[in-house]
Amino acid sequence: MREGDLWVVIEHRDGELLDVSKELCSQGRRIKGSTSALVAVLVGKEIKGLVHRLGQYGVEKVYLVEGEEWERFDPEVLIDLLSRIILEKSPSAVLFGSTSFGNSLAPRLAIRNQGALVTDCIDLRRHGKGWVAMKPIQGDKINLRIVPALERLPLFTLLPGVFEIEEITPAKPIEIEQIPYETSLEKICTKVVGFIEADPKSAYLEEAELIVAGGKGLGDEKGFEHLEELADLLGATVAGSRAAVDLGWVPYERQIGLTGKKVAPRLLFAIGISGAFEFTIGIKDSKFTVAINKDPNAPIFKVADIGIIGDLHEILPRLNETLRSIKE
Amino acid sequence: MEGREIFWNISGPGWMYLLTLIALLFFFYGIYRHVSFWRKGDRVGGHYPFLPRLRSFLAQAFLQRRILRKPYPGLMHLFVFWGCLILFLGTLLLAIQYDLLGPIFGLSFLRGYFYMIYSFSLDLFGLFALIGTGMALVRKYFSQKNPETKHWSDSLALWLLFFILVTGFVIEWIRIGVAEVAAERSYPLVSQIASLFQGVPNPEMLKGLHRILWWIHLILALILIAMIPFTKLFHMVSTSLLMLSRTPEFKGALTPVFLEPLQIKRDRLTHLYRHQLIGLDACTQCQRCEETCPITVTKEGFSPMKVMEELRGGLRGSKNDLNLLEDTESLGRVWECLTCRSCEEQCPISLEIVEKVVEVRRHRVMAVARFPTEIKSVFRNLETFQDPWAMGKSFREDWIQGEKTKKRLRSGNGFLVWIGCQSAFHERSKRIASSFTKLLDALDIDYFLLGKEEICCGDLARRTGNEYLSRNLILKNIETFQKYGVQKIVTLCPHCFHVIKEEYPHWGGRFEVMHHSGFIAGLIEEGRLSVRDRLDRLVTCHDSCYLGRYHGQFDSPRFTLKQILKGELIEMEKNRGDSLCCGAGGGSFWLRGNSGEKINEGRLKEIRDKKVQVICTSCPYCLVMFEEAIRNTATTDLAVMDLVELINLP
Repeated sequence: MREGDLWVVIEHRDGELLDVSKELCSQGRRIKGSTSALVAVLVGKEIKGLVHRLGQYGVEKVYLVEGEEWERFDPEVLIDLLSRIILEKSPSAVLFGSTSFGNSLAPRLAIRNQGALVTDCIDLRRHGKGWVAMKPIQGDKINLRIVPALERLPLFTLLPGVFEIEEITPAKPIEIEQIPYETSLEKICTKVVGFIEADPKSAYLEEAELIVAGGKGLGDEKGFEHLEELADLLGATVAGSRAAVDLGWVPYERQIGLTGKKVAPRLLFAIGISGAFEFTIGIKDSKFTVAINKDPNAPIFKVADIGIIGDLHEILPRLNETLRSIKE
Repeated sequence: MEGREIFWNISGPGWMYLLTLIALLFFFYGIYRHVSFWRKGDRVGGHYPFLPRLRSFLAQAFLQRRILRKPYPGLMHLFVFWGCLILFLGTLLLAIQYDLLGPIFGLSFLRGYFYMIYSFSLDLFGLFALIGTGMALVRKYFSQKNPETKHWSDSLALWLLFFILVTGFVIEWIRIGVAEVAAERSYPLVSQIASLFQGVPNPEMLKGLHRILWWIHLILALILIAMIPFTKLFHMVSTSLLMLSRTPEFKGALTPVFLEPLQIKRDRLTHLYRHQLIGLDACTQCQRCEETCPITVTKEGFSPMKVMEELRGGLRGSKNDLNLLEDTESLGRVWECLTCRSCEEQCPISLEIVEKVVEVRRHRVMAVARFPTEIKSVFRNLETFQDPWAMGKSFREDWIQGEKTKKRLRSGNGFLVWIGCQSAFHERSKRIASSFTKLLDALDIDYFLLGKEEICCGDLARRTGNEYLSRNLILKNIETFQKYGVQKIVTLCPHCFHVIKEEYPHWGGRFEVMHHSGFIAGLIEEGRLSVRDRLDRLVTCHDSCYLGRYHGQFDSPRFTLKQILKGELIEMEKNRGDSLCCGAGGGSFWLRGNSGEKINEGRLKEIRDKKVQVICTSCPYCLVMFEEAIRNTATTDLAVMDLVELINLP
């Protein structure tokens, strides 16, 4: 087995740990083995409060990089710093979340340190002296088992939402090691100015988690307004079938189906869509589909997880009303 | 018996020779330019029999079969063609007599009965030519549809011809009237017209007029000859050569790109065969293709004729390259073509227009990766899953119901039933597959299925220009066929049928291929299947492009339908060769069409007018397209069914 500790690189925002980092820590604790420690790399400004939180997820030691200039993560500078401490401390493996942050750091680190990177893992375990990771390929049809070469530093990015979060009561207090650093700001080519929350309504359809899709059954612009209201309440992205696009209710970029986009949301509402094969081919990767249609024989009900038979002009306002009251 | 005095009343015929020489210099220079352009193309490898080419040349050039499909322009063209041909041959005979046989051998054959026939036919065909020219002028100035295609040289050529013919007649009449020797004077009708000039008080004035008209006649004729290679008139050379040089390949089979390494750039002239370059030169903008092209009819802009025109325009600009990337009016919309071959069906010289469209797509896909985004995912699906639906092998046998059919998977004797991606995956089209296998099982016919080992036939990738991808699919399929010792294949989809039958041989895959409609008709003829008078509905038959126009199989579905139906089969206005595409061909099923009326809804409108209850199709794509149109237009009491589903109706 490659000697050394198992590292997780932590992400946080507004003084809170991101769920993905909790998942990383929990999975890390489960697989680190008895002889090595679970170490978190924590970078940021005024983050001492987070250290104690990390203990709850099994972290035994924290490498702390703290300072004004770390208010925003900056991969370009972070990469130098991480490379240096990896060289110094020699971990057995490094875990990242498969997020924009992790995806920008991990490949660079892999190249710098001649590491072996496996992205988008859905499972990660010990395997002999090394590790075995599982990742889905070919549109989630096949899972690939990958064993990184032993002589290389293994790096993994784990898909968010896959690994279970476990809270524990730490046996001993968490160990903190301050990492000294010098920043050379001249080296930074790009400066992160800030984060802008994406408007879910205009998010990329392929990446949307929640989608509300409408079809010709909406009848008119009025029906479509109900649908948009629902999308607002859910924070969902609006999409349409080809018929809705042809009628001009939805722009072509938001068309789902054969001649539009293939989507894979966690939840999809198909409202007033009969569910011709040309449409359903675009939603076959949807995790959960709710269909509303007045025709009980509509083929959409064959692919839906929940089917509501009825007039959407009655159902939608009531659904919106309920959602609004829950929100309040 | 006497003949006539050649060069009567004409002095200084030496000038005539000089002018003729100049005209011929122009003519041959023009021909040279065209030929040197054609020679840039590639030679067709291999030898093809000459006889079929000659046959098509004779049928099209002399009998004008295809042109005559439209009566008015057909007759007009026939008159002008035969008129001018005979007049030209007559003049040639005159030259042979005067310049060769006369002076060298002292022979004179333009006399006696032969001269009588000669003179009479020249008059008769001259009259035909004049009628034809008149018809053309009337058409040009009173009924031409698209003034865009007018070029000043077209009118010039017509008027030249008109005046040549008129002056020709006038100088003949004067000669007959005034000359001392003129055999025609004794003929009926001619003599009467000529007698008008007899006994005029001033024959010298007539002779002067004759001289002037003779020279005008000559000069106009020489101008006409000289301008042939530079105007539309050149089609008389190019189309003849096209008929003679074109390989008798099956119509609609695309020219394969199977050079190693695969030539992904397609924009050099050397990437086209010589006969293809002649073809580009041969279009006369008659607009017949535009009148029937489903895209031109429903949407502005794209037209098969303009594809040819714009390709040729690009050629003239650059010496060696085809301009395939320019987004001109039609080339920019090259993705809308349905490859339905309606244009080629209508084209009087059967120009291969679809092939040119695909050539443009090939270059755009393979060399510069410029194609609609929808097609991108189709390519990726074909690469990853070997089917356009991105379903994958494991779902390919899902349509199969019943143990009896399951047993047929990869085992059993008999022929292969090729299901095709559309019938294997599409919820609606699956029923075609199960209907057909149910029928075979009921009749205890031996067959087998490839199931998981079937992959896309390659049609979609080929028509959308991804030759590389389609070649890989085709080679893989041929390998599978050989593995299972396949000899005979029955397909459910006309697209698979066409590609496997006509295009697999390019890669060495030769199999006996049938479409299910032909197979079923065969069963009925052999008496193994009886479907007489089963259905009492108003049914119409929609000809799919790839079965009908591509393969001429119009009769087999009709034969079966007439057996099934109690009543008469209702024919649509546009049927058989004139049938309108459902809107799915050439990859359009996977593309989002542009604005304008939808093709399938347009076709449906025509069907609805006929008040039928069932549309019978033989193609899984047509089936789905019509169902979509019916849904979109909220049409009631109209069903779409595949032929084999109609047979299996309880």
